[in-house]
Order: sequence, then C-alpha cells, then structure tokens
Amino acid sequence: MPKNRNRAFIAVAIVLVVAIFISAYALIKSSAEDETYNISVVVEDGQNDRWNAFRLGAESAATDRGVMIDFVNTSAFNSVEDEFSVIDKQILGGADAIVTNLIKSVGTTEYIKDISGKAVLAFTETGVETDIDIEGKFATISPNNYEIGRALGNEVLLRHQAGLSDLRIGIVSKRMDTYCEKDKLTGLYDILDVIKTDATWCIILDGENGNDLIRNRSADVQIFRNDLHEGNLSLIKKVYRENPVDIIIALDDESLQASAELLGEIENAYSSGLTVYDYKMDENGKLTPSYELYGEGISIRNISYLDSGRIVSMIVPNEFSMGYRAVEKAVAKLDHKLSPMTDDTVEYRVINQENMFKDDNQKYLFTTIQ
Amino acid sequence: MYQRFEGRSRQMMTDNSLQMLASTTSSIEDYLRRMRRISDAMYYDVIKDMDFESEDLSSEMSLLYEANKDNLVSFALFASNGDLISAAPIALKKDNAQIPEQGWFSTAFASLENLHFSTPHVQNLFLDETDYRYHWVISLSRAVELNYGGKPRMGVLLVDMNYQTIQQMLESVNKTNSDQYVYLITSNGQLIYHPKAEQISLGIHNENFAQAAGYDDGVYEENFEGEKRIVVVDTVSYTGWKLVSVTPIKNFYLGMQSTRYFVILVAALTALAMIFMNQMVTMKVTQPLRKLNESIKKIEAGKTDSAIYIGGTSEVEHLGKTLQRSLDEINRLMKDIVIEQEEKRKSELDALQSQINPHFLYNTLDSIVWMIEGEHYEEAVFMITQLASLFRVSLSKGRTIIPIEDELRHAENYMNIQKIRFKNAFTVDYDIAPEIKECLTVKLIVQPLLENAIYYGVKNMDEDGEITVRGYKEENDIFIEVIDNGYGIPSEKLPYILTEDKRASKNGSGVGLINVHKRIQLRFGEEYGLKIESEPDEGTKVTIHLPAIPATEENRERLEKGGAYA
Repeated sequence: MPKNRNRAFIAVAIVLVVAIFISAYALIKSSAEDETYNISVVVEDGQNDRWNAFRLGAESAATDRGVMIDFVNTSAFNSVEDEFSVIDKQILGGADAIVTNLIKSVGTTEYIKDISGKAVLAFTETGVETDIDIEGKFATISPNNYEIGRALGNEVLLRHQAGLSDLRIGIVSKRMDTYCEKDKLTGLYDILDVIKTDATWCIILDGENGNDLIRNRSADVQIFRNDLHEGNLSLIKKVYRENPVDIIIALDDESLQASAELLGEIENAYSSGLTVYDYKMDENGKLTPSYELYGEGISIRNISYLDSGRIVSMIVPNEFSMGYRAVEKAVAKLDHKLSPMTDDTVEYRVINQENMFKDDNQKYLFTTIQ
Repeated sequence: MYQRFEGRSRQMMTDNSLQMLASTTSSIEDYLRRMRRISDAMYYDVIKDMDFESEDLSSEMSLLYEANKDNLVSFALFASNGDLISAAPIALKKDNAQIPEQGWFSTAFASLENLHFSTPHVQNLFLDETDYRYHWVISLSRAVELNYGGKPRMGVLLVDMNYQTIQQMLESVNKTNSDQYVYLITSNGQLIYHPKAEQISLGIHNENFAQAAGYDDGVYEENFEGEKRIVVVDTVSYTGWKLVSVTPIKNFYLGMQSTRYFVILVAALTALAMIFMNQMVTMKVTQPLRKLNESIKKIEAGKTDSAIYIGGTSEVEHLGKTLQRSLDEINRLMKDIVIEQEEKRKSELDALQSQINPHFLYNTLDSIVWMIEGEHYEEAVFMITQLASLFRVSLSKGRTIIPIEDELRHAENYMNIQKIRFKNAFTVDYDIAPEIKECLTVKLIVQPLLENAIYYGVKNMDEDGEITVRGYKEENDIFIEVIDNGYGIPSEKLPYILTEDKRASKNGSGVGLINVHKRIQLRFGEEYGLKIESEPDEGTKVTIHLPAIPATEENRERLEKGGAYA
C-alpha cells in the first residue's frame, strides 16, 4: 500500500513537473517575438515603375506573412555577375531568402548551387540553368512565356486575318539571354511560321546571346544589336528609319516603351513638318501610327500608350501575383525547410484600348495606384 | 474565472470595434457630406444661375476646385450627349472616353433628383500625357438642368472624389498589429475598400461581401471559411455603404493564451510545492514510526538483542520506550524459563539417580550378606569391589557427563554383581568398538537397560539367558545396543514403552527406559534417545543413540552447563 502511494505521488509529481516545463516553454515562446525572416528582392533597375505591381505583390505577401522585405535599390546590370554580387551582398547582410529576376539563364548552375545552400531562392519571370533540384531548394514563378509569345503573334493575326505576307514585321527585345525571352520569341515564331511570315529585322537592345536562336528560325532576318551602347529609342529609331516596318512586336516592357516612344517622335516629326518618316493617314487625313505596336508591358507609361492608342494590344503578366507568390513560397520554404519548393505559373491578360477600363481589367492594371 | 475574463475581453474588443466603427463612419459621412455640399454649391449657386449660351462656367468651377482640391480629382460638367461643357482642372477629354457609356453618367439619369456615388474606378475622362497618371476616383454624379438662353437642357455634373482620401481614412484604422480589419462595401456588396483588395481580386484572400451586405447595423458572430469571427456593421448614411469591422475570435485569445499558460504554471508549481510539503510533513511524522517498525521486525526475525528505536515525537518515543521495556521483560522472563528448565532437568536427573541407587544397593548388600553368611568370602570381596567401582562411576565427582568408557565400566560392574547374585544364570557378551570409548555420554544409561534385560528378559528363563552389549560408531553417531534373548515385549505394548501412556504397564521396567530416553533427549536433542525392537519369545534389542562427542574437558563442561553438543 505505501509503495503504491509512493508511486502515485511520484506519478503526480512527474505530471506536474512536465506541466510546469510545458507551460513555461509555451509562456516564453508566446511572449517571445516570432522569428522574422529577411527577404531581399533583387531585380534589375529596381526603382523602375515597371516593378510597381511586382513590388506591391511582394510587399503584400511580406505583410501577410509577417516577414521583412527589402526591395533592393539597383540600377541596370552590366552582366549577370553584377546581379550575383548584389545577391551575395544581400546574403551577407542577413537575407534569409532571395527573390530575383536573373538577367541571364545560362551558365548560372555553379553560382546557384553555391548560394542555394545559404538562402532560399525564388526566381521570377524566367527559369535559369541549374543542377537537378531534387530537394526543391528553389522555384521559378513566371508566366508561361512561350504562350505570351504565341499570344502576341495571335494578336497580330487577329487584326490581319487577310494575311501578313505584304507586311514587314520588326521584333524588339531587351535581351535574348534568358529562357523567358527565348520562349517568347519561340512562341511568336511558331505563330508566324504557321502563316508563313517572317520578321524583317530583330533588334536586341542589350546582352550577348540570341543570334543563333533567331538564325535558326529565320535565315533572312536582319539582327541589330546595340554595339554602340546607344539609348533604346535611338537604336530603334535608327533601325526603323533605315528599315521601316508595318508592325513592331516588343517582347518586354522596356522594348515596348521605346517602340511606343518612337511613335511619339514620329508624331512630333509630323507636327514639325519633318519628312524623315513615312506618315500614315486615315480616311479623314488624320495622322495614324506609322506602325502597329504590340508587346508585353506593365509600366504605367505603356498603359498610358495603350490608352492613347500607340500600342494596339498589350500582354500584361500578373506581376502582382508573381511578386506575391515568390515571397509566399520563400516564406513557406523558410518555415518548412524540408518541404520542397515548386514552380508556379502566373496568369497574363491581353489588354487593349477597348477593354482596359473594364472593371476587372482596371483592377488588374492599376493596382499600384491604390 | 478564465471564462469570465475571456467574456470581458471579447466584450471589450467588441465595444472598441463599435466605437472605432462609429468614429470612422462619422468621418466618412463628413467627407461625403462635404462632397455633396460642393456639388450642391456648384449646382444651386452657379449652374442654376448661369446661361450657358452666353456664360462660361470655367472660372467658377476652377475656384471651387481650388478650394477643395485636396479631396477632389476633378470637376466636370457634361451635356446629355457626353460632350464636355466645362472641367476643372482644365483638361482635354479623351476621344475614346465613351462618356455616355460610363456608369456614373447613366446612373445620374436613372434617378434625376438624387446624387449618386459610384464605386471606385479609374478615371477615364481626360488626356494626360505629361505625367502618365491615372486616378482612382469615386464619382459623385447628378443630373442637372442647364439653361441655354431660357431653354433647359439636361447635363451631368460630375465630382470625382479622390479615392485616396477614403482609402487613407480606412488604412489609418487598419494600421494595427492585430488581425482585426475594417472594409467598406456598397449596400449591394460591391467592394469600395478592403486592406487586401488585391489579394481578393487574385483569389488569395476571400471575403463574404454578399453576407455582410445583408447585415443590418449591429454585432454578428459568423463562421467564415472555418474561422470564427465577430463582425460589426455600421451603415454610412445617404450612400447606404456598409462599414464592416472583422475581428477573428482567435484575436481574443492572443493575450489570453499567455495568461492561460501562466495560470497553469502557477497552479502546477503550487500543487508541486504542496505535494513536497505534504511529503516532508508525512516523512517527519512517519519516519520514527517506520524506524520503530524496522526495529520490531528485527526482533521478530529473532534478533532479540536488537535495540528498539527510541526517538521522534514524544508519543513515538514513549511507544518505543514502552516496547523496549516490554522486550527487556520478555528477555528476562525467557532467561528465567531457561534457568528453570535447566534446574528442572537437573532435579529430574537427580531423582532418576536416586531411584536407581536404593533398589540396587539393597539387593547387592543382601547378596553380600548372603555370601558372608555362606562363607563365600572371596565372592563377597569381589562383589564389594565391584560395588565400590560402580559407585565411583555413579558419583563421578558429581558430574552427569562422563566418557562412554566409564559408563561401560559401570555397566560391567553392575553385570558382574548381578551375575553373582543370579548365580551365572545368564551370560554377558561385550562387543564394544574402541573409538566410542573416548566419547561422552550422559551417565547411568546402559545400566538401567541391563537391569531391564535381566529382570524382564532372562531372569526366569529355563535355558541360559544371553545378554549382549554392543557399541559402535556410524558417521557422527554412536549406537550402544543391549540385546537379550528373553521373553520379549508384547507387540501391543511396544509403541507405548517410551511414552507416558498407561497402556504400557509400567511395572518398573518402563520407568527406567523412559528416564534414560528423556535424559538423553534433554541433553542431546529430540533426534537422540532409545529405540526398542522386540519379538515375543525371541528377545529384545534396546538401542541407545548418542552423538559422537569427543571426551574433552571443554566438551564435557559445555554439556554439563546444558549447552548444545555440536
């Protein structure tokens, strides 16, 4: 009997000690502040308004998930190594995760292998060359770039159902160094090939790759690169003056903006009575854009150009969603280190002057203004 | 108590929500009232008094705009076909604006006498190619009557309120660390403001606008997507907009969670301390009792010389002392009993010896008298010599333990005397192993057996009687047998010979045997003593069983004192 009583006392004492430890731990844990992760967003020319929606999405996710976010103030990168060095500095500065949009997709394997052990990585807009990622250490959140390329081609086709054989097409791209740009070009060419149409020229504003890819698709296309390091508008203007086209397809926001600005210059030239360009008039004798401009864009300038009619149709990827999901995935990986990260695809919309102020599209386009 | 605390906390938060909501609603109403007054001022003070055929509205409109431009994006007056009549700040209308198709325009004509507030939208009226800006506005539109030289025409007065003003009002309310938030919807559930508007349009976050739109002003508890929450609704006057405050129930427990852990911690600590105190007090009380119990257990186990624990509280100490006294008393009594037993044994031995002597002495002396009378002097001398030897052994300086050799000499002396007395009517053979002679025995144990063998065995036999005395050793035991070929003992009496049972008629012989048996057992233990085997008309064999104890002085003294033989 006394033995049993002693056992009961010991059992009760053990239960109480366990209860004390658990409640003390919970008390300390509940009073301690949650661990706050630091997430750095490294994109080229980070202050450019084309990142507004992306930035708002990333910041919203950071607020929702209770993490600190640093949208790094960067300028244009001369090379991907410049971008790597910014990422390295962020990791050294204590960043737990990096959300980045690399300006080059090839030759990044070793670097990513190196930094993926130091911080969680989320790539946006474009995939990059990596080792096989069995553990899911990083993820790519991007729109379906190939489909964007096809959508651009289809937009052109939609307005020229009679055919494009007698129309000249120019393509402008910021770079051809990423899978994103290559996929868009491939998607666009796949549509042009169907209607047996070829581009007259292709301008690549920056970077070093892409010639082979374009040559593989079209042997006759003229390729212009910015060898003299001119401004985007200056290069496009020069090429256009020498080789006027009827349609320009811009594969990214910067190219689209420069192409739209050229239309502004043409309008100004017309107003000034200059004859450096061939002007197009409508049946009322009013100046119309010298070429139809299609492209992918997100910046408020491009939205404005779309509104004013300089851009016929614009593909707008959901940059808010891209920023939001990239940060969300990075935080999820930080919270659950053993759970693999998975790639994600965000939507894009085809916006034109007619539908841009429709209720759902204006929310889609103008989120940053709120 | 915890429940009450939770209830009060919930009540407090709900009251705070109601207060905050009332204050925010009041601010929004103030703002909207100002906007309505601006519209009224423009319409009733300016437009109504103006002839649009000859007068220009621009200056008045600009003045009013400048006075209120912090909260306004633009003023504009449109003709019923959508043509811009006047606007402030002055701007060019977009060619593709499609004014008549815009919601605020058609709504104004739907109900002519009212002011209409639109949902937030991006202003799509004017060309602005310089700063590439788009404004989120809430349009306040009304149908107006325009005087064109006395002819009335309809138009629409549009006040585009800066959406940021309402947004900022509500954002300041939502700038708290808790999960509580406030949103604004129209009476039919269209979103005006929500802190997670973008997430909602993306489908990342959900809100049940339709249900909230159906609520009247008040406090509601609802379960939305598995989350319990308190919803407080307040309606903005004139517009019918609903300002909704949402507080997840889990918010109530944020601070209380740590309170709960604290209460558990304190309760567990208190209980543990009480248990330890209880154990200490119990130990203090029970330890002396347990020690006392342990000492009693030792005594129970046979260690009678152990001391009883005396200590602890006065009661336990008293108990211990009493027990110790009792134990001492028991020990003393036990010793007395042992002494008594010893004395009893001695007195029994003395009685036995005194039983043997008178009989034998009388008979022997009678024989000696008879010899002397018959002038058999030699035999008489021999007889007296034997008798003297017999008595020497009998006395043995008062010792009761003697060597077997002396005992056997004593038996031989006795048999020599008896043989003379009975005129050699029987023969005696001795077969004694020499090694047993140097062992100890109780004295006078063989003689009574011989006496029995003579008187009840061979005395009255027609043929010559034979008595054999045999002694031998087996392992650590000594056996001395007295065998006669006399009449034997009837089998029905045999089992009772060595008992006090009356069925064995004790006509002298039995008494001697019992005495010997008891004396051996008293001295050496129950396993020793006599063993009797007898066949009627065949004879009797009585075996003495003794332990083999070497005849040393030390052993003898020990046995004399009643100590164990081993």
